[in-house]
Amino acid sequence: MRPQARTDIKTILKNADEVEVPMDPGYYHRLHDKIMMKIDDQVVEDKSIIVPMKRLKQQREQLKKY
Amino acid sequence: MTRDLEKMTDLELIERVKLGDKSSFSCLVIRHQRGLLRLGLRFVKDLDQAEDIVQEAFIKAYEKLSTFEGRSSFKSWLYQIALNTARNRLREKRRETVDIEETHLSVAPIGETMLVHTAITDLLNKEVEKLPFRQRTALVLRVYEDLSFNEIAEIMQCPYDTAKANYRHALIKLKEIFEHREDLKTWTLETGGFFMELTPLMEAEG
Repeated sequence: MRPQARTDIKTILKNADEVEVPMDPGYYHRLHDKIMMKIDDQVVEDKSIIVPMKRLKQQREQLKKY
Repeated sequence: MTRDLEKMTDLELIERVKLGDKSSFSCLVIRHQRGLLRLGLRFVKDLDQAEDIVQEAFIKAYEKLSTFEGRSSFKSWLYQIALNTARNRLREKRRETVDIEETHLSVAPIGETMLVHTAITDLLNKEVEKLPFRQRTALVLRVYEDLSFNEIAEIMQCPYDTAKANYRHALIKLKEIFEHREDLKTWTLETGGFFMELTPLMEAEG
């Protein structure tokens, strides 16, 4: 006797699915914070490039005066 | 305020981010991080690496948000970025990996059915990993993420028919593998399942 007459391909693949994401909400809080921190760092980094460039230009302008 | 943000659509949040409101981006992260992690895990099979993909994808998305025009959904756009990141990671990994045959031996005293199921699961997962990246992507997005071919085409940046063809080719390859494995074939014939009915099902899905 056949236990199952037809097995849907999607069901087979889904049954074979071993991917399990963490269930702990704390994990997602931490992941979110890491992402947002990296984005903050990125912004600061961008600014840290811009600011010295501005300073350099100002210094050059001042040097030109002399 | 937070409640209001939670009710907003992705597009509304993006508009706010573009105006300089970073907390709206935080809301987008909360909304999509879990799905993105699941997607990453399907490709790299390692939580730390999948987490890296998620972080990288969100950072890239934030940097490039000004280029997002809303022609596709934000989710599709984000998945596209994550998939590109995953593909790059896999390429790097392939370069670094020394060929070591991984052997998974199940010694637990479990029933025969369970053993066969484990064998099929292992084989299937390994074969899915071996599929060309685009076919694997179409398969993963269709089967596990339950996305429509329109959405898959958006994410894969290809025509609708190409997305569908990639999915079909992936299924055909898996079917061929199963048909050539006599041990699995016998078992699947006995249970009347697995890939025996694949062709009509694929036609029905089309």
